[in-house]
Amino acid sequence: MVHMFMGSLPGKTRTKTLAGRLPDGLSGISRRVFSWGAVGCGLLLLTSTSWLSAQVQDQVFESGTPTRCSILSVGRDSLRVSDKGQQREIPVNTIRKVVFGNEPNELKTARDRIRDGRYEDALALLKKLDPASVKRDLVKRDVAYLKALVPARLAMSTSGDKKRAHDALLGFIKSNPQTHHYYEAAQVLGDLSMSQENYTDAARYYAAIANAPWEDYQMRALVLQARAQLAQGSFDAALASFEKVGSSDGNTPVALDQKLEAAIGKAVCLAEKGQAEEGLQIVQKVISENDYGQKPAVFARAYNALGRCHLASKQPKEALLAFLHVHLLPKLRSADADAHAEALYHLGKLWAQVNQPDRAVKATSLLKSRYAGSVWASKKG
Amino acid sequence: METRVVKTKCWLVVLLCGASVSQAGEPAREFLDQLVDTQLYDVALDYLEQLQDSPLAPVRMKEIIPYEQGRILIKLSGLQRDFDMRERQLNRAQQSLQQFIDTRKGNPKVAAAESELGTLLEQRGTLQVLRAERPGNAQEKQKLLASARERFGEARGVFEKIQGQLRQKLKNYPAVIPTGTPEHQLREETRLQYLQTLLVAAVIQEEMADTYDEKAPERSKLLSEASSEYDSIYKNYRRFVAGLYARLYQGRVQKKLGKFPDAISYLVEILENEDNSDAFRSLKNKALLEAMDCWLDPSEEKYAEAIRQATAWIDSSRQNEIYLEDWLQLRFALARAHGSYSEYLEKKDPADPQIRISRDEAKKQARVVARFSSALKDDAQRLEARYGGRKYDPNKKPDPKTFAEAADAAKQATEMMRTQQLVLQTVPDQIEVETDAKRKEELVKQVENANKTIGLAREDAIRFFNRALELAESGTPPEEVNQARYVLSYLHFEKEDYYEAAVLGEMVARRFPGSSAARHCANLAMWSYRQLYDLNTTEDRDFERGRVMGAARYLSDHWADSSEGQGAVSQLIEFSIRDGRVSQAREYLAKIPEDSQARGPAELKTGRAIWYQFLRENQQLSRWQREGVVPAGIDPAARKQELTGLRDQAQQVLSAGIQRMRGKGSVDGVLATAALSLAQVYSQTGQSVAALKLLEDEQIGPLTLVRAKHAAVATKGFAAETYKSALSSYIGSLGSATSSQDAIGKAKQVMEDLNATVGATADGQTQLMSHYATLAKDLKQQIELADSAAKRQQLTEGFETFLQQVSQGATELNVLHWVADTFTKMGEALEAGNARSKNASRYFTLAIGTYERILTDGGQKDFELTPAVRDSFALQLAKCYRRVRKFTACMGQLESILKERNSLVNVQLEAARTYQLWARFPRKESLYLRALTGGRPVRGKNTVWGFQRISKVTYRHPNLRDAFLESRYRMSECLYEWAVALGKQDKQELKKKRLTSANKALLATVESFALDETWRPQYDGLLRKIQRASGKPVVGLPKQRQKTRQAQARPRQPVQTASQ
Repeated sequence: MVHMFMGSLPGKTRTKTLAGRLPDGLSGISRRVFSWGAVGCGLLLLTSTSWLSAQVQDQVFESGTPTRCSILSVGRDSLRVSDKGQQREIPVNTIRKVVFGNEPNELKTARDRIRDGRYEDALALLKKLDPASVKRDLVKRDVAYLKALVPARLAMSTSGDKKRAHDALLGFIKSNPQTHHYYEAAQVLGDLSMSQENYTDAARYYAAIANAPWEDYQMRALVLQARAQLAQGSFDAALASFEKVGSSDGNTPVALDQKLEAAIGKAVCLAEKGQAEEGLQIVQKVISENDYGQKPAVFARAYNALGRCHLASKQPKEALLAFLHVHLLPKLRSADADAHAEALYHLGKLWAQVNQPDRAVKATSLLKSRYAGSVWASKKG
Repeated sequence: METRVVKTKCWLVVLLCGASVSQAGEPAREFLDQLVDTQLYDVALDYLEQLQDSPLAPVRMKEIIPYEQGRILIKLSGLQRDFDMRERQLNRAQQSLQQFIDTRKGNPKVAAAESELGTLLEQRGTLQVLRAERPGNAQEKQKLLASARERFGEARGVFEKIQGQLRQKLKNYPAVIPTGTPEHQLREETRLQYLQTLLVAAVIQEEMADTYDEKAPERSKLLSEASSEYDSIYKNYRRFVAGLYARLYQGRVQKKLGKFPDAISYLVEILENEDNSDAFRSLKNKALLEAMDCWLDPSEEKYAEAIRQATAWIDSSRQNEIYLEDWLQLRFALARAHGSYSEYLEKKDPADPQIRISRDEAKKQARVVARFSSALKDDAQRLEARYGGRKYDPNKKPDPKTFAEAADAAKQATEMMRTQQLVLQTVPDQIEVETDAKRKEELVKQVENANKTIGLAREDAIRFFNRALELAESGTPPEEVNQARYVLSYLHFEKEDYYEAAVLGEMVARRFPGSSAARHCANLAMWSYRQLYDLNTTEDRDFERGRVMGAARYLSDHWADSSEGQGAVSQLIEFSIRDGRVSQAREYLAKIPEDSQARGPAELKTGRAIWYQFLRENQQLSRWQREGVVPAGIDPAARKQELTGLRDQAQQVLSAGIQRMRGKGSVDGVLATAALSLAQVYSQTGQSVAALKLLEDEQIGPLTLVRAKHAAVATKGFAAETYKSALSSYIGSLGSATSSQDAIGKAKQVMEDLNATVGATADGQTQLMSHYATLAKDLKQQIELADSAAKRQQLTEGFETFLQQVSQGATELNVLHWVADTFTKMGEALEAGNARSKNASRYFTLAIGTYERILTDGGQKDFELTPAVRDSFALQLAKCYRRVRKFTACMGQLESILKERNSLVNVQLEAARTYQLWARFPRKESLYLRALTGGRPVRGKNTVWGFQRISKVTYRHPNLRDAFLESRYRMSECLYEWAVALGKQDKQELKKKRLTSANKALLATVESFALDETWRPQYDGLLRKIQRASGKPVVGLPKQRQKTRQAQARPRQPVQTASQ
């Protein structure tokens, strides 16, 4: 399956632009308006044109004020837009969100719900959405993507059929190889494979992200691949990958974040290789040199790594305190669901070890109820 | 368990808290707050400990660690139901806070630490009040309440001091500070802190008032003062929520003073406030509760008003508030209001239709309250029953259809049991003092009925609880199901169905460790198994022992800090001691916190066990050395060293236990026994002066207590043991530099006391003999344990002086016997490892003289000897003869006994042993044959049996197992010695034959019988000698095989050997 997916990826070929052709949604309305214009109502024409122009305007959210433009075409690496009469490319790695002009409200809200981690609500909204109301192809594709993405996210958190979710998302990518969601989809597919303890496939999906033209994406791909290796127990390989990221030249904020992630991963590898003390020093450096409020996800993973270093040093009380940081601090808990699930998994075992069975039961119950789909919930031993 | 001050401070703290600011590094503040918010206080303490050395810990946080520790320990103590544990946690908290205040002067948190110290003192006061309320503390109630007042006074002092500091700080602020500036915020915070201290001080004043009786003038005075303070706070801070709370408390105080109209006016003022925010809802709820009490007071009778206000308020309650404690209390008050109103109306006009309406409402509201688990549940059920609701009728058997109904029915039955148990607790005392015969008869009947009802109600309760468990569904709250299981388990325990109690209790404890019933269930299971263990009188108690240990381990692992957990450790210690695993007992002992109540008794138990182990092993070593059969691999010098360590441990553990328990102030049986044990250790290790110091101690000295007839030493046998120890110690002190005639006088006095205490009856005389025999052993032990020859000589000289004085002119048999026995034991002690000791012979000779005097005087002086007693003295005399190698005289005595009573196995053994010892002398080898096959025939039948016949006679009798094993061992030993005595020159064939026979006889015994740890090394040692003499590889006994229980319990038919 992965090979098929990988094979279908056309590398760095550029998408054909749709310049010169009106988007579907726009064309129908334009025709109607122009027909009204034919009856000679100039005022109406003027007003309607201005109203029309507002309706078709898409919004691309990067940092700062969103760009109001017309999206002409989408690709893996960029969106081609018409902005104030000028056509230009917006690279995908700078985009936070895309809102299409006159897209259904349900879609807009669903997207927000996904961002907040409220996947059930998002799914309900997408189900409520009337497919006939969507005419524009780009919007249709966005709906299709979200309909494939949400079950995948759900399957990895609370519940759901992971295989079906995987197949649906892979199906979407195969049908829409030139989507700006490509790299995100690759990561979700990798995560899904990780949650099924299929680390080989996970590493291959993550490798697809490395094809992006940006260094920070390439670094992230390497970090994700290293995590898969780590989960698989290939500590030497994982360590080498993390070290490669750590020694790369990138110094953008995003690249620096990836270096932090690599440092955390390296600490875990060292702990697993019996060099827990060295690992401990690395994590302590990450914690002491960064701001917990600014980088909660990094801190969540750092405290989990700290816990694993203590576990490797046979210091259950210290490990417990480290994992409790992730569970108790609201910012860390909500920053990374997988990190929270991991912390709960370890807490379940550690509470039992320090003779607190009721607390152990609580932690395990929370893990099983909130993160039933997580790899941590099904982990044995 | 949170006290009023803690509650008051909690909501004020919420007002003071600002938003947290994120920062680089460890988010220590936020994490600690989260740990505290989620009540993970134990983990918070671990975290603070970790922060002390953590490179991640922010410096500011490190500085305030002791403050945080103190603050959290106070919170942790609030969760503790065990008063002693709570007190210990408060002690630790106080230590931490004081350390912080002393070492961090100038830190902004010092004021907060002082405030926490005040809270701590208030908690101590509350703790004393709770103790005073316990039924078991009725006698000490006033003392405890006085102590509570002291604590409250100290707490108030702390808050008043902080008040002064904060007042000064507030004065230093400029009069006008622009709002929104940091200075303005600081001033507001200071103002709130000041307000907090004002309110808390007034609350403490009120608490202090509550420690007095309702009619005490001190109470009224203190309540009036508290009321004035609340009033002043309200007037100055009415814009603050805290100001309104002051008004509420003022109303409460007026209510306590019985000034209901005033109280109502204050409380209604709060109720009429239009603010309905969450903070106000809680305040109003509290105010309404207080107001309800006022309206419902018989002096007011404002039932209609109470009903109007409470109904309106309850109607406004939210769905999630229905089961909250405050709201349940209010609903219950409404039920009471309806009930009282119906009674009030009935008195006026029994036909008033409102009566029925009010009664129905009372039932309805009470039923709602009774639906939820709360402290009011019972009262609500009673109220419901009072106004025509369900009543308990033992004759009417309910048919429950749901879990709740069945549990209710079971509960009613248990309530009936409790009521009748109260009858059993009080009526028998009344019967004792009742003089009217008719009334007495009625009371006796009442007791009989109570007994009968308890039995029936218990059966009902068990049946209904079982039914409830059958009816439990997946939706039934697990906590309620487990509570039902717990009570059911307890009922089984009461009924002495210990197995059912244990299984049910253990199931809850192991399957639902998070349940609030789990700890109690585990405890119940452990004690049920313990009962089963005690009730099993057979030898096979492995199952029960295993279950007790399992339950105790589980309990101590999971609830180590609780009194149950520590009780479990005590069980583990006891069973480890019973199993002879003293080192394990010591490990368990270390698990009990030093300040736990269980620690002292456990130290006593463990210390004594170590001491007994030392005695046992020391005796074994002496025996090995005496008999020259030290097992292979054992170095006597090293062993002696180990034993000295063990002895020191015993002394150390016991001493620590005594020290701990002495600090408690009062003397009980446990402490007195501990003191006696330690005195015995001192006495028997040659530390007679220390022993006497402890025995004569004015506070806990057993001798002092016995002479004062203290209740703590009323246990049977305690006085005799004390006198024995004292006598042993006085005698032991005679040889020391401090010895004097005074010590001899005291020793003689103790002997008289001992005789008077024990020897007053015929049975007592026998006991007295036994006591003196033990005393002789003790003296022997003192000599054996003396660590130098000089010390040994010092002791023996002291003993001799005393014994000579005592025996001169003595006519009592027990005294003469003791003197003879002690001389014998002194001889034995000096003989150990040196069979030709001159001093030893001297004491044996002195013993011979005394025994001969007894046998001669018997029947002629003050005592008469029965044949059995005469034989016993003759045997002792024979042994002394043998010690000084007067074999002919020895055998003469033994023969005279055996002629009369030939089947005395111990005497037969002594006779055979004498032949064997005698045979070891030059040209006496032929006596080995007599040792083996007997001698001294009378009419063709040997009077002395010899080892061979002894073994044949004894092997079928398990109670003569030792005699059998010894005779078999001696047979081989005689054959071996006889073979070795042949020398190297000639008769090699005969020598070989005897060695082969010795070998075969020994192996046959080993093959057929399981040897215990006493005999195995001896057999092994002998076999090695035989192997060496035979020129075979010296390998000793084959590796020990696991014997079955049957093989251990009963000897099988031994294999016949060549020699036989």
